[in-house]
Amino acid sequence: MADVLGAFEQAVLIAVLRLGEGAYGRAVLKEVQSRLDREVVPGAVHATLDRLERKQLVSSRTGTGTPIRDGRARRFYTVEAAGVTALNDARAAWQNIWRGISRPLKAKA
Amino acid sequence: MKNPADAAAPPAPPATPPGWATRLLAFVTPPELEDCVAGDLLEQYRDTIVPSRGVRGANRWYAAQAMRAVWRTAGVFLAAALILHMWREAIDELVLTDDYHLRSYVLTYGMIGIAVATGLRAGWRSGRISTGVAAAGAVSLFGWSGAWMVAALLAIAVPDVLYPGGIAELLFLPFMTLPLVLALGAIGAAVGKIGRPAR
Repeated sequence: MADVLGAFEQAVLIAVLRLGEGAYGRAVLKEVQSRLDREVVPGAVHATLDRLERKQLVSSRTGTGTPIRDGRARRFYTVEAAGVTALNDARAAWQNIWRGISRPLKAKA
Repeated sequence: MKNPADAAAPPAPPATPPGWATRLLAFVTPPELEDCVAGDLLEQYRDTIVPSRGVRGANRWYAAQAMRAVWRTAGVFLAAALILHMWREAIDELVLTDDYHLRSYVLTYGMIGIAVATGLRAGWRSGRISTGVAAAGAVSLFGWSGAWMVAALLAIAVPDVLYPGGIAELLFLPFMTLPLVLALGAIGAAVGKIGRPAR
């Protein structure tokens, strides 16, 4: 099994999968924030997307700018086949870790 | 009834984040990501932050995002340089010795290592040698500010404290060593830029 993805990397990759054609930085940020139910720093999402692209788990293309962005282009991301494999591996790893443990866990009194 | 003067008023221009923060952010962002990172932040700034926090609050938010980007690039080295200089200044003033060589070696080679490592990381992250050079210089001066702070505190707390190196050394050495620091930062940044994986 290749490198198992970290929890945040999984959240970002799944957000890109869910958003499909509309997966650009800010949309991914909103999706991750809503799924994790906490404030996420925009820089963390950009850094993670950049790292995932260097690992060739996602690819990107540059879109067009909009007035609210002063014409600055959006970068749209797509999950590559290696990204899907990495997500499946990560899920299998978590399932292995939790196998045999009944949930929810109870603390010893 | 609407005031005719209001109807004729042109729409207010959209809020704009502080220029220094925008430039700082661009300086630490890889060129290929500059447009999308700045665009995403500007979109969030105008779309959600300004309506919820007002322009001043939104400007603070934007500045914080730029500072976080700087911290991710050089934060660990800023902290290391600060601690190293504060340690050296404090023991020089409080623990007198006949032989300052060991302390000098630790500070000198520590700062050489920090300058090269800062340049390396900044060059690797940003893909720019200029960012590595500037980061190394900023880290060095920030480190020296720790020595100034310790010297000032000791001057207040211990009035008869000795300054073995002299106050002049403390004030001039940071600027005398700056060219060397910038050169070391440039070397580190060049290595970082070359070793940067292609997108």
